[in-house]
Amino acid sequence: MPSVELVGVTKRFGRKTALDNVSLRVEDGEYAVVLGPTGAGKTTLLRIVAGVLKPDAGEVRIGEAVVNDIPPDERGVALFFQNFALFPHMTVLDNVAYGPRMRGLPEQDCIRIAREMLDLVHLLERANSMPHELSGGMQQRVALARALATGANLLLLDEPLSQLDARIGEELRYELRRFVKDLGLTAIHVTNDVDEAMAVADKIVVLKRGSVIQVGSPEEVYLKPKTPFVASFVGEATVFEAIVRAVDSERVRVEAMGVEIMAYAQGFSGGDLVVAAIRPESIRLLREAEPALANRLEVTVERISFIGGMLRVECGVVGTDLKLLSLVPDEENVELAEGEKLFASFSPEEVSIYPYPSEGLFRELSLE
Amino acid sequence: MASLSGLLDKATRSALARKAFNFTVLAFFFGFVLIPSLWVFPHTLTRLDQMYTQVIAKPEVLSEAVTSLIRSVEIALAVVVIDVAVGVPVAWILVRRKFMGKEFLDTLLDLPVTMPTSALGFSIYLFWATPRKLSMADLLGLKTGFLSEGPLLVLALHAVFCLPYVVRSVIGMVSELDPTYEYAARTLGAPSFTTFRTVSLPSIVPGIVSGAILAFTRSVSETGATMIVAGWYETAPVYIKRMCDVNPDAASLVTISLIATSLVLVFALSALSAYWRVPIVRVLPSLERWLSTAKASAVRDFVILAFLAVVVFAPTFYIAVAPLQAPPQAQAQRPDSTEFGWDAFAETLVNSLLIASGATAVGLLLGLPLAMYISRRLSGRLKVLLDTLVNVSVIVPTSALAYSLYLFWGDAPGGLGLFEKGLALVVVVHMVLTFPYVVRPILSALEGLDPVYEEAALTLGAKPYTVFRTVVLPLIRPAILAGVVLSFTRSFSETGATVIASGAQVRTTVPVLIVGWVKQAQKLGDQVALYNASIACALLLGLSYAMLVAFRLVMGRVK
Repeated sequence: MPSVELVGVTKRFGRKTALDNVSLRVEDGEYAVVLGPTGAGKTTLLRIVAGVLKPDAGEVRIGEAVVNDIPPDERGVALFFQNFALFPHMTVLDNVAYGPRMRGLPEQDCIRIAREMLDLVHLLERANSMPHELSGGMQQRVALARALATGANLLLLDEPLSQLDARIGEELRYELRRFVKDLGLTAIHVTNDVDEAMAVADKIVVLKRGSVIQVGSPEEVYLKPKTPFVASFVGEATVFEAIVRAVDSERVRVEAMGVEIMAYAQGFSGGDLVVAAIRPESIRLLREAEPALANRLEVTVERISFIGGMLRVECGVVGTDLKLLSLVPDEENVELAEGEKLFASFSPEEVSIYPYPSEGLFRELSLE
Repeated sequence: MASLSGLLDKATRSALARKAFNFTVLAFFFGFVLIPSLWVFPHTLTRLDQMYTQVIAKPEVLSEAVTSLIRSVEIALAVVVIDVAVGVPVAWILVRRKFMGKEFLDTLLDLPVTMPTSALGFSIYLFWATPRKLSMADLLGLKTGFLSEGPLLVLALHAVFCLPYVVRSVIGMVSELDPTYEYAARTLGAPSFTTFRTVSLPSIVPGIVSGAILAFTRSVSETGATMIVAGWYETAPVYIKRMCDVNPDAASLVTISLIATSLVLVFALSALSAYWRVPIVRVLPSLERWLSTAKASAVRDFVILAFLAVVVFAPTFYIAVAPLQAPPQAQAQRPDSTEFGWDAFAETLVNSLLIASGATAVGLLLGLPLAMYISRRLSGRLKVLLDTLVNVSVIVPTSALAYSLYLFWGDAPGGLGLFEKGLALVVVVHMVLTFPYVVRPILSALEGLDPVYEEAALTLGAKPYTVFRTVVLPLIRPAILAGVVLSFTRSFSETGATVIASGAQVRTTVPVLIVGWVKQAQKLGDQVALYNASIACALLLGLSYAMLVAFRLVMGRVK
């Protein structure tokens, strides 16, 4: 069971830098998820660990040994592909037996291992089918069986659920994690789906434009986003520009589009241009009579949508262009209507204040 | 232009006009291309008794005919083996490796196809079979040619002009391979060579098969260049050429057998390839691991490139040094004939270029609608049938095709008697033989084009012709251009069919003129003809290269 470490890994394709001085460590037996928008360099990172791509600079270590010059077939890693990459000209059994055969095991052992693995993913009865005869979910399980049959203990998963129907993907993500944990593997799983990352990860690595932005447990990344990008991408926070108007020992008062907001923050001074972020579930929507928290803004409800037991409410602060997003429990006594006037209220602890990003807020939040 | 489009729009909406148009296109394909190409079959059926008395009953005639057929098939099979063995690694190198001059090498590889085969044949003949300056014999310090006319020289020639078909066809498949399958195999523990054998190779088999089929049919049909290098080793097309005046029934028999053999072998090959399996296990693990090392792969690349340099490029380009040889002294009986035969060269070159352009234009005009008809109007078995018939007209060896067309149009018994052997028949032959080369790529492009674009245009209010003009045409433009280039070069370089259709006339196309000069030189020792041929071939080499570069520029701009 190996740990994996990347030290200062850089990879360029022509003039485009896919990975820029990336360092990260995945512990033995850990299920790490690399999370980032499309084009962040996630697949490149995985392929470099697998050895099918060579980094331009930096070191890759698997279990403390530097493996830069070791070809992929000798690294003992299993790479799992977005499109599963099941060999179309081989049966399911031949696909799964491919790894053991490449290790030169006796033929009957290869078949035995392949059948065991197919049994593990409940597909033994489809052993003689061709890959195209299987459904997407079955293909995914065959690909998993094939990866596991090599005996590799480092599993690299490249958007393993993205080709599946949403519901099937949700079931299989837990199955995937269970396999990894039951077999005691180390896994690096790459995805752009925040929910998927939150659901399966021991550790999340947020990657953006080839750089690691934040590493931490799902809770850490969600509750303490390091940058406005993480707050917006992972937490769906409302993110906006503001100017610091007043500071005291532990709090600041900022102004955004004529609205004043109190926040706990240190290290800023009056007149600073900053970015403020508020997560949707920390914004409460109140009728006038109810007692409010320190921040209280008059808003108009603009759009309501239902998502699994919650109401997602977009509202505009009255008299300004400032928009807020709020998630409130969908309870019987909450009857909201579009166009209704309410108060949005949130405590100063729930407002994160960040220094203004050097590349501008638009580019900071952009997914490209 | 707008009014013409309007008119065509109206016409395409009228069911009657559409039917009439489709009928014309189909009538051209069947009546002008397919049936005349295979006319030798019904022709022979009406003359079975003559066939018996003139050929079957004469053992020496029959054995000569059968021998020529066996030779052609032997050569073609050997060529397929050599060209697949060389062509697959060459294609792999051209797609996957990065090196200086790759583009240049890529262009040069098409030269043996673009160049008239007789010019290529003459260049190869001079390089291998004469002791001239810088030839193989000269380089090795021999006094006579390194090879003499015969099977080895025929093989050296055919392997060269068939190689590009294999390389192009395999390159098409290799560049479309999804690398994730290779990554999968590598991370599952396969070294790079094993990955190639078990994963990449099975995926490119269709490309290898279609390349092998083209190489096979090109080899069995080549006449002009083969006549230059064959000597006593008469292959089937050369035999047809010689016999079509002396003993037409013997020529018919060989023509029929050649077409039948080609069709049977080609369909057998494509059927068998579906069952062909590469073993998945590591056959010889230690050998495969060694073959996967960087050193072994560098050695492999070097051997392949060295083969290209010595066997393909040196003999092909040898003709470029021909003008370095001193012109022959004026001969006593022909004091004025040391000058290069500009008149004949210019006249036939103009003919060649006009015929190639004309045949291509006709092919495009009728081939594009035919491809549209097959791809968009037909379905099921009828579609498969027509698609196969288009392939059949590629497979029919060109020399057999020319003879068949002569029997159909010409003054042979049972023919229409419209054309004698000569320039007019040459034009007809070229129209027929280039036609499938225009249709084939367009048809493939149409099959690969998702019909949703056309459906979208129709629902947006475009009339059928406008849909074709504004949506289909721009999307298949690269394929149309590819078809035009293939058809033009095929016509420009074709020697065998033209030689047969020309009969005794020498001044038809430029490859025929060259064959005439070379035969004159070989038979009569005419040094002036030899000199003329070498200058003409050198000029054609330059012209072919210029054409290739021009095509590349145009194609590059389209993509």
